[in-house]
Amino acid sequence: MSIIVDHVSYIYGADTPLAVTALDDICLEIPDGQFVGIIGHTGSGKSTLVQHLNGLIRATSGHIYFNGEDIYDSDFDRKKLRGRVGLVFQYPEHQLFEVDVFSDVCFGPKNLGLDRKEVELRSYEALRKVGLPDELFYQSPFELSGGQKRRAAIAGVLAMKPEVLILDEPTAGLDPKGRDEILYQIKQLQKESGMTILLVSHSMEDVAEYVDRIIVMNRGRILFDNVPREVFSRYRELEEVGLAAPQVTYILNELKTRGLNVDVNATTIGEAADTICMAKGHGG
Amino acid sequence: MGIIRAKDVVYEYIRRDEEGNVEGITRAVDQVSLDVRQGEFIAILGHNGSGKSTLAKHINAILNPTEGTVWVDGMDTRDDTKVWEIRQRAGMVFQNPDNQIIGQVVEEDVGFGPENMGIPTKEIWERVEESLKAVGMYEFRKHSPNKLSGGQKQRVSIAGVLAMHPKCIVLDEPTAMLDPRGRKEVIRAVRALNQVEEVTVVLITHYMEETIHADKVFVMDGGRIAMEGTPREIFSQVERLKELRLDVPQVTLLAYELQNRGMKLPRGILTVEELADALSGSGVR
Repeated sequence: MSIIVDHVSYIYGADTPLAVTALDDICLEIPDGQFVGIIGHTGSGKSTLVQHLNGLIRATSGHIYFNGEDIYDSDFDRKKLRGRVGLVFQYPEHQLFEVDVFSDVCFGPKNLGLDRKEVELRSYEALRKVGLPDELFYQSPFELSGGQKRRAAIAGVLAMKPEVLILDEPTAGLDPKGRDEILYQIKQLQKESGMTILLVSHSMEDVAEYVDRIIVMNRGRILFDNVPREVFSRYRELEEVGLAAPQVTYILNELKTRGLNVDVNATTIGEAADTICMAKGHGG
Repeated sequence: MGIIRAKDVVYEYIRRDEEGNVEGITRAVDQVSLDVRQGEFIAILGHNGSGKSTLAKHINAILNPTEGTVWVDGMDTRDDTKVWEIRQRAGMVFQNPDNQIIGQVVEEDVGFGPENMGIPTKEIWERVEESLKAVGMYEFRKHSPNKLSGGQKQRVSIAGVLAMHPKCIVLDEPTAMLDPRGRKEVIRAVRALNQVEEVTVVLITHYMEETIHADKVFVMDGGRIAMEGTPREIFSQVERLKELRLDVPQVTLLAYELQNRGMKLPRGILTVEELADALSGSGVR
């Protein structure tokens, strides 16, 4: 069971003089339960790619298979697909609209046609999962802080019980603590319920810390697709396409040039500290 | 007296329910005093809801203090007759470039500010040219802003402010929506303005590493200034910053982690070079 993207291309304004190729022959397979980071400069096609995965955009050519079924088949239920592949847009808090947080979260599952009890159970569970305290449930969503609003919006998608959760820059504009809290909770979702997670991000440090695999997009194509340490070891090429590696990569490479025998492919603070202690012969 | 001065500033707003009944009062800025000298680079940090943006909006008279006073270049921001002059002295750049760009062509957009000030046409074009050069966007002057990257758009917004010849520029999370290259471009342009053009900079951000070159860092919490000092003084207090929902640059965090494991390193390391120097010194074990 997985998502397979098979030679997908997408052209904005096809057959017009303004045609722009946003995705160019993309092939990938995402197995169940993986935490995938998608990075790329603005306009590289990241958001266009993820919007294909729940059928919001239809590929100009190519196929997408969800659990083995072609989502473009005439008898495939695309409406249901949107419940199974949950997409959290950038700045999702702009989409909050209900009178209180709880009703807002209920909106999604209610539209799936579930009975009221099930809707409320799911909404309650989703709010707990994103770590929103009970006393906020009946407040207006507009009175919450930035981080809380964002969590309420994510809960709205979680309440539809998706098998795959896609988040498009979920931490943009949040303070560092808020950033960590949201990413930690997303990681827990993956660990506890085996949910597949796709995280679109501009923060290399976040991606390095949390994901199992990184897909790097550039001009509508996949530039790299590998584990974080392998991807960030190509930091020169990443810089050429407007990206960067986490700061630790630069530190370790600088130390290496100065003759310290460190593992330059460590990507998190903990790993970097380990290899520096090792190289310095420090018992740590 | 500094270019921006705030004395005991309080800002309160009244929360109302849907029928317009008063529900309560929120104090977003609480007894803030600060003094920024001409040519300084100031960074303001603080978690979401700590009052940084509310404070920033006082600097160009978008908001007026409930109590206390803000002076910009000696002018009291509550003086209605000075509002336009104040906004011209202290320009503001916001988070989302798409909300700030109005022109169809880059150079027209940059010319919008000085045009509204009634500057003669010839001088407008001179200002547009120098402003676009200052942010490294001159070669894009004939382009449509829609076709630019986020970092480029944000630099056009900065040029638009610069063309009004401000003494001070306030940037409210200008890099929050940008990719790593865009962030680097914007920060480089801001530093150049400060160092070459000697424009006073007030930078609000959630990216700690953008503030390491600032002359002074203010950390806000609950509407008050919780910490104040040079970047080195601020970032050597890792635990305190974490309590305030903030962070330190990754290099500082790594140095801190190494110290916790018993390695002897100087406090408040801010750059890759500093850490590499400290670690490649033979004395460290």
